[in-house]
Amino acid sequence: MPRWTVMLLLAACTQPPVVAPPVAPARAPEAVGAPRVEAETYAVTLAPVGPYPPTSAGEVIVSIEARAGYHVNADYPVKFTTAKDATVTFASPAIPLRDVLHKTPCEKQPTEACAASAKVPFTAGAAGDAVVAGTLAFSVCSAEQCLIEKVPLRLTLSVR
Amino acid sequence: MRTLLMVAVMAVSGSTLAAGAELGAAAPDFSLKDLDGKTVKLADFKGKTVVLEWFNPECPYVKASHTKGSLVDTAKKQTAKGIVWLSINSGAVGKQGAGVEKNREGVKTFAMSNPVLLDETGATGKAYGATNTPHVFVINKDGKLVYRGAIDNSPDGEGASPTGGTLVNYVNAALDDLAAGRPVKTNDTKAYGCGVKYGS
Repeated sequence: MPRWTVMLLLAACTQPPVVAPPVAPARAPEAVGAPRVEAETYAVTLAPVGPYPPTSAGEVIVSIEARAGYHVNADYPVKFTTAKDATVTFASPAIPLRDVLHKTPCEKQPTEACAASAKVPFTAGAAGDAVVAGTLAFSVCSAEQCLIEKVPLRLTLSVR
Repeated sequence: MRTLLMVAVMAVSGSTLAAGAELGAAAPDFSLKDLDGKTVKLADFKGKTVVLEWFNPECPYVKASHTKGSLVDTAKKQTAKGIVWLSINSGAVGKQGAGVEKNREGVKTFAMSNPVLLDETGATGKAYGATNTPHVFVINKDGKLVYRGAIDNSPDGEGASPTGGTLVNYVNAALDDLAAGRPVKTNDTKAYGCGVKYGS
């Protein structure tokens, strides 16, 4: 056997064993959204208004707070589009909120709203933890520009 | 006499945005440059139906309408039928979406084939009473203004939130009425979108 073959075989034998990369432990899909999301120009919140008896009507409050010289764009069709993994039952997949918004005027510009809130109704399921989730579409404007935002929100409630 | 003079002075110095072009009246003429520097006048299109679309490539409503909403392919389809479609940007120098380069980019992003005219002084925008982007005006073959207002009834720009539940493209409807020889049924709607970025 030629020397180079022997050397090749020896080299192969001395290679460290190939180790498979570690397998990440299985985990539940990462939740999208949070009860409160803050950004430079806005903060939005999904807040409980309990209690929540099983199989009864309930509601949460969605709130928009404009920041940094922006105001809530009252002309934009604010909408809460429900998430597929929500575990409460909404009346429809997309809930228009513009006409039911409670608006708070800006201090320095009372014709504009610097905050707005609305109730989002649903029907709770069986007793236990329930997820209210969806995407809030809204707009805030400054003198210079308007922004259209779509923010996922998610809240876990206790139904009992 | 002094009171009359004061009232006259106040009327002249008041906002030129207040009235805008009147429905049924002659549409204000204009002479503006396109993105290649070529002069375009409304008078160039005498005898044709003309649509003026107030435009700002950086306005989120314009972006939504041109990518998901009622402005997708609308200008192309109408132009193919002989309609003249002109986009006008009345943003002042330095304002959001103003200038040749930003508008060239907008034309490319939205695959527009109609001219974009720059109205940096805002004179044309104010003559028409353009308040938002998008804000649309339709001029019939006789040169009269027959529609002014929103592109459609979905003030999210995407067509996903139509007032009343059914999406209506007001401009297409107006052009259909004109083509059929009918008066424009819905001729005046409230425009939605970003404010036009006038200089003053």
